[in-house]
Amino acid sequence: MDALRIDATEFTPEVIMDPSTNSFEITGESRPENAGKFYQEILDWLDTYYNLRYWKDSKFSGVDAVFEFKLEYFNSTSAKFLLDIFMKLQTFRKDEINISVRWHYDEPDIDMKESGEEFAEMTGVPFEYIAI
Amino acid sequence: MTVNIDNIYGIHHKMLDKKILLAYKGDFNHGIVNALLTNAKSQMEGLGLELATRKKLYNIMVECLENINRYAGEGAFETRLLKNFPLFLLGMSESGYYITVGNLIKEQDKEDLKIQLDDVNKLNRDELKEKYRGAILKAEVTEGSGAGLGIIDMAIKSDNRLEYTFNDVKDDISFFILEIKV
Repeated sequence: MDALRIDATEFTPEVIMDPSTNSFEITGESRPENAGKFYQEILDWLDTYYNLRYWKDSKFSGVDAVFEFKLEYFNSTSAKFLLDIFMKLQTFRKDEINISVRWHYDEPDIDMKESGEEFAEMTGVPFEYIAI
Repeated sequence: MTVNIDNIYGIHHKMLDKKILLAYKGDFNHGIVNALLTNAKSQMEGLGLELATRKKLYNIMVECLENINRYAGEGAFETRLLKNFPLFLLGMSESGYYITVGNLIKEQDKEDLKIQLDDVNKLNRDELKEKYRGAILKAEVTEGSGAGLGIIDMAIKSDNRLEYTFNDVKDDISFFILEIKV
C-alpha cells in the first residue's frame, strides 16, 4: 500500500502515513479552506490501511504503532475531523491493534495540551503528552 | 477630492492612543484572512507577547476571521451596503488584549447568534467544556459551513464574557460587533 504524504502549506499541516516504516505523523497548522476535503483523504487512507492489513496480514494484531500529532494550531472545524481520526483509531484498537497517540505541544501552550486531554477522554485512545 | 492628510494623521494618532496593533476594514476572502493572520502573528512576535497569549489570540482571531469570511465575505451582501464592510481590530487594553470584529448580519441569523452568545456567557469553564464535548460529537461539517464550535471554543480560550452589540443598519440587516478579551 502506498504511503500518504501531503506537504505543509501556510494553512494545512504536513501529513505522513507510511506503512513501510509504520510512521504516522501530522505536523503544523490546520485551518484548511475545505477541512472536509483535506481530512477525508486521511480518514479514507486509514480505512484502506485497516482493511488491507485486517484481511491480508494475519500478524496484524502484533503491530505497535504510534501516531504523532505535532500541531501548532488547529481551528474548530479541524477539531471535529481530528476527533474522527481518534475515533477511528479507537475502533482499530478494539480489534487489538496496538495504536497510541503522542501529542506534542509547546510547553506554555496549556490550551493545546488540554485539547489533547479532551480527545483522549472522549475516545479512550491512550495519549502520551510531549512538552517541547 | 484630495486625501485628507489631517484626518489620516488623526486616525493614526487615535490608533496609537487606543493601542490598536492591527486594524482592517474592507472586503473579506480567504487570501485576506491569511494575510491578516500572518501579519498578526509577526506583530505579536515582534512585540514580545508570551507564547501562550499569542496562541490564544491567534486561535480566537482565526475563528473570528473565518466566521466573517463565511457569513459576510465577498458577495454576501449587496453592493449598496458595502460602506458597511467588515471590520477587524487587534489591540491592547489595561487588562490584556482584545479582538474586535464587526460585520453585517441578516435578521434571520441574528436571533440564533444572540442565543448562542448569551448561552456561553452564562457558563463557567467546566460547563463550557461539557458543551463543547456535546457539540463536537454532533458536529456536521458541510462545505461552506463550520462545525458550529467556534463560539464555544472562543469562550473557552478567552475565559471572559463575549461582549457584543447589534446595531441597526436597515430593516432586516444589522451590524454585529463582537469583542473578545484575552
